Amino acid sequence: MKRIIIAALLVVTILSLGSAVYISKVAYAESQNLISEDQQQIVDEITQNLLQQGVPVVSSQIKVDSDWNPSVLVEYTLQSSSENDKVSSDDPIYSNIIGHEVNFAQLRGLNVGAIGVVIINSQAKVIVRNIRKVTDKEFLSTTMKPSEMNSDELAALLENVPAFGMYLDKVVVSQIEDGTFKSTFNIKAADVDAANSGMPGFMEALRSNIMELNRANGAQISSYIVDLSDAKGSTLLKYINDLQVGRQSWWQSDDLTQDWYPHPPKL
Amino acid sequence: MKVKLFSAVVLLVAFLVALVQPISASTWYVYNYRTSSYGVQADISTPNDAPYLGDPDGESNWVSTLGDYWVQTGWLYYSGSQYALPYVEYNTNSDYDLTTYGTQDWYDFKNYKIYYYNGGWLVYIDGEFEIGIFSNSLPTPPTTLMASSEVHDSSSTELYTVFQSVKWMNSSGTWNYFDQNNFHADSPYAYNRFYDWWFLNYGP
Repeated sequence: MKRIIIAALLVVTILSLGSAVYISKVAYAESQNLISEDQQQIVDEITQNLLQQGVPVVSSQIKVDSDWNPSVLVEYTLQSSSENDKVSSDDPIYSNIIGHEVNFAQLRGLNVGAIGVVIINSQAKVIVRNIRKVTDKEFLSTTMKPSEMNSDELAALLENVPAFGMYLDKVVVSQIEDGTFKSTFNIKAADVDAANSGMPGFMEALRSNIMELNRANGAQISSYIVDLSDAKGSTLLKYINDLQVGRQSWWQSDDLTQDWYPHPPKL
Repeated sequence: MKVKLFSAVVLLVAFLVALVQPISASTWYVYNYRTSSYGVQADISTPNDAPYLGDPDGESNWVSTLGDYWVQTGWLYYSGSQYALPYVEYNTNSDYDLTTYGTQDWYDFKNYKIYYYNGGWLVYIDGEFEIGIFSNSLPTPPTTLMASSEVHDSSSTELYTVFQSVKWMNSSGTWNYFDQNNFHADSPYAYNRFYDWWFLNYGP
């Protein structure tokens, strides 16, 4: 009788273990199925788009991560030209563009929960890694109305933004596929003191002007870049504002003022 | 003669002091902070109506890590915007980033939270994960974490923000109410301290 009970227990145990293995295998397979060939293809297309825009992506991967809903993370690795632990001046712009491309790929069928960006320096050391939730795609689809203006009239209006003691060297306006505009502002300051004096006012005036042009004139400026340098050509600021996603990214020199964005005090 | 010489020296010293001191602060803070923490969170209010803003710029109300590189989250409001904007901002190794997440109504609270987990700082707004940042430039806990209001450029900007249920996280991951009085206010702004974890920042 005792042997029968032991044998029965053994059978139940084996069956339980078998079921557990089977269930975990099914779960694994299901999770793998989340990354279909279609999804991988979209990720590859994003990579191609990024490379065409000059974003130095060295790898991308799409993987299951149960922390996200949907439980998929797409992560891009960016090759920085930096030789130390600080990012180079273009890296924040690149990181922003990656976020934009992945977010808008949702409208082409990409089904991910989060975007990861890894920045490595010239020694292949990871200097920054961040993971962010994707922007709601329903919201994104509302941000793509074509502009009611042409590029010449828009450029003429943007050239009138006050430069606050600096010099507005060049404004470039270009229309993109979704009918919205990107604009780039090249600004010169005599030196970092002139930049510190003028930059907070300029950034505020620029943002206000662009928001007003979008609101009142239907300009549909979807993003803008500010490239600020001194008389010697040294870069003081490289900044991008992606108005569709609501994300600003920038690099600035250590001696440029911080009085134009929230930052903690020095204790 | 001696009096004149003394006066001249005093004037000269005053002049030199004025040269090395900033003429005026262009950022005003009202805050409390806690040392030796692993996370910080607070329910941060907006005022009843859009606050008056001086010209230019605006204000932000946030919780944050400190140092040359930081992570912070809260709401900001600046001219041209209709609403307060919840945001996450960080600066890691000169990689600056500020992302906004929808709007926060006037006379409303949202919970803003930052804590250290598995080598990085995770940021939540109203319980929803937004960003995780991993960088060796950011402070490693235990560290000092802050809950603050910040006004830029014009001290005529109106501030009226309640911070309540301000908590810090210990090494076990337990959240506790702020229990240190490290309050500070840059005039003309001030605070009403109900507790270390519940205060009203206001002014001018």
